[in-house]
Amino acid sequence: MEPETRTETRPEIRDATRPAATPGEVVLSVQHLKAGYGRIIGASDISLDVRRGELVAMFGSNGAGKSTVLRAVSGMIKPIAGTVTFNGTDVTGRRSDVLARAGLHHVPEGRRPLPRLTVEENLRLGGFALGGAELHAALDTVYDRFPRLRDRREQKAGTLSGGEQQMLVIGRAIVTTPQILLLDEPSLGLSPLLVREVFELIRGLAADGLTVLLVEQNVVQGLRVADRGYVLTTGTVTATGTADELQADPALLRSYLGGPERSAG
Amino acid sequence: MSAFTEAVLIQTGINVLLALGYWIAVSTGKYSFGHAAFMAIGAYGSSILTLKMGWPLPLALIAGAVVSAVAGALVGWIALRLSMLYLAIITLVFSELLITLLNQWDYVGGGSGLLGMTGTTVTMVLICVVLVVAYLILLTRSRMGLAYEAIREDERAAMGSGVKITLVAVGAFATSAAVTGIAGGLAAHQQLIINPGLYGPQQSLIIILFCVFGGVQYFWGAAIGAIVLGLLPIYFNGLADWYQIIYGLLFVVLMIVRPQGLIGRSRAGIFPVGLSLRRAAPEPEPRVREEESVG
Amino acid sequence: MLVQQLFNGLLLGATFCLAALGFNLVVGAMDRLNFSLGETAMVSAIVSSVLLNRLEMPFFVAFLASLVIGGLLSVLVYFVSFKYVSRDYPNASILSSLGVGIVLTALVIKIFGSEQQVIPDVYPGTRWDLGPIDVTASQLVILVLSAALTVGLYVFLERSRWGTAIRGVSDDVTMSGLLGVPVERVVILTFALSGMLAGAAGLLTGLAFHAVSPLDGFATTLSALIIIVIGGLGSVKGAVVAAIAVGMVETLSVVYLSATMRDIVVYIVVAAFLLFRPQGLFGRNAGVLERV
Repeated sequence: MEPETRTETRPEIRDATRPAATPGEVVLSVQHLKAGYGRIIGASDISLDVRRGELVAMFGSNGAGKSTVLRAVSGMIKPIAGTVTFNGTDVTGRRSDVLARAGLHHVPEGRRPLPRLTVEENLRLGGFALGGAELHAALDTVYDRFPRLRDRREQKAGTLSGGEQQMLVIGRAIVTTPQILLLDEPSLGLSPLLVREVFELIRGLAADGLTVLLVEQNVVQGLRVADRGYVLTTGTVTATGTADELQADPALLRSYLGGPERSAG
Repeated sequence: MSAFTEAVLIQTGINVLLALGYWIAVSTGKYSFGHAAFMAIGAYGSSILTLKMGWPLPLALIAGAVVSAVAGALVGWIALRLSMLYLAIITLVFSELLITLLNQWDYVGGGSGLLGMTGTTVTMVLICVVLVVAYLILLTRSRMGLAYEAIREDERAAMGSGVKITLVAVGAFATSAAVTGIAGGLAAHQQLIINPGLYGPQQSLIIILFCVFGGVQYFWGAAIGAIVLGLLPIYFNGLADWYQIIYGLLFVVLMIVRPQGLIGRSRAGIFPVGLSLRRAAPEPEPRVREEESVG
Repeated sequence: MLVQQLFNGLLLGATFCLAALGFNLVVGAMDRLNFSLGETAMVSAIVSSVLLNRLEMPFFVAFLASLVIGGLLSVLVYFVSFKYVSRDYPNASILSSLGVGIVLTALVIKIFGSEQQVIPDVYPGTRWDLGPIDVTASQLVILVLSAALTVGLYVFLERSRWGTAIRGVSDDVTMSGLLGVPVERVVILTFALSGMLAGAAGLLTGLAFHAVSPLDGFATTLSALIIIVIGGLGSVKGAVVAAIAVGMVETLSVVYLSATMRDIVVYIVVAAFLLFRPQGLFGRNAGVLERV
């Protein structure tokens, strides 16, 4: 338990239930972020923006710093330097649960369902802030999107298959509609068929207007769903552009990501 | 040298031995909560030999240390596969078991204990301290010392790198027990009287405090801490009533302010980082399984 | 005769059970152990005895008081030994809470002296003859209250929003935070519940033995740890089963062997579990390094 260092003088994080102000406004802005774990600095100088309604992807090989950025943004690790701005408020280093309640939802690497809890209980915790009827309605919405979860609602999350767990953790993150969804390697460890299913799901979420920041090693799929992308190499942003721009320059991607064999599915 | 000074020097030396002995185990990342049991083994072992069989003290001390080492090896071997929590529990249980058994053993006077051990001198204590310090200096510069550190930092990685973890860790624990046993034997022959109640959890905690107060990173830090803590009650005599409270508060404050002890970097490399109390496995890996197609 | 002893064992087990559950909760929430729970139980019991003896309060009041005191103490310990203690040093909280335990014991001795305090019987003289078993009012109270608290805890954990949150935090505290669960408040709740259980355990144990001593703290802790090892870390079911089993084994050992053998038998059983089945009867993760 880290000591709670924030005092009441910090500005309030904007209420997640307030509707989006302007389409195209910047939801998340990361400036010169430096973060890491212990002696390992994963991200040394990362700056990026995500606007409302966009799906922005971060590409890069292992160790490039992609996951580190997400973790530093969502409060899993404390940034060493740089700032994180969410809906106009400086939220650098704030606690995960505070950010989550304000609408910054992070689905971390490795899925991490709460294994001893059932599917339903997992989802309920995703909607912890909601009351009775509201929660019921929100759960129904999620079950409508993921019918297989409904079938398994009383099953312990730890016993689900990889694909089902991925559905669960994404569903869990959207029980309350996020202002931004951070997705870390959702396709990791899944069969090609499932990978396609997951990306269909993500595309659907984006089409519904969700703002997404996606970390992916699967460049082909990532570019298919993304509006814009950033390419990270050893801790810094080395390229950025729209999906079309990045896609149109295979040499660019290859030189950073090591060749076509990287893309799967 | 007055009798008082002699007693102070002997006690201080014993405290240093206790701290250093514990430090050896700690340097492989193993925190025992029942180390007083090894003191008891050394104390009772050597006392039986001197009182009942007329052995000279130095030999009795060595014999006591050997028995402690064997017990330590056993505990160390068991501890190898246990998380910190379970290690804490098993060492606690082990020391409780020992006390219960000693209380029942009439040969050593049961609950009343043994009476009449003498023979500890400043010279003896000094020699032991010097030997242990010399050993530690050599250890920290040797490959064995690196192995200890490897085990402490990341036991699983150490296993993979070919370090014969079992031997090293067990050996460390055995050595730790031996040194503690010698301290116990020396103390017994200074105090004249021993009984099982002396070696309960309170004493184990004092040993831990002696070690961690000064600093766990360097063995000499632990030694200095032991010297300081040991001298406090002597020079602040009026606080007799309050020792328990002071020691307790010391633990509490120390753990907030400087859990690595007074001397040493405030870097989380000293204790095994991120090692879960309940399980040593890392956070759950993604479950990978091949899937059939979707309905 | 045997049945009566089994009943006594059940009673003893009931008192162990609550303390063990208290420990289990904290291990679940914090992955660290609050070693001052035993002393928390003792303090609650001592204060209750003062309420019962000097202020002649009814038992029910003393019981509520034990819950409140236990809960408050436990939350205090959270702040002192856990919140502000760096997670980089996993043993630091153990040592700190041990320190708190020492301070509590010493303070109680300073204030109340080191003799035992008496816990008077509830409705003294009332007993019921139920066939092979003799039950006093006090024993009934112990059983009913222990059962009520245990069942209450179980229902709370399984059915309520905050109970589910406690289980979620126990599974994965980081992930729970990412979901927006107010982790710190959940943890404080967990500590409070844990302390309440300990407080009740202290009073009920005192009632069972008609006395509580300031030095009981460590013995309570040790018993609770033994139950946890045998029953399995993190398991309510395991704690209950192990507590009853150990209670019965202890009682039968005293009756048919001797008081000392009782301890030895229990230690050997614990050692056996630690060596051969460290996850206990129903433990969900082993305390053992997994060799992958």
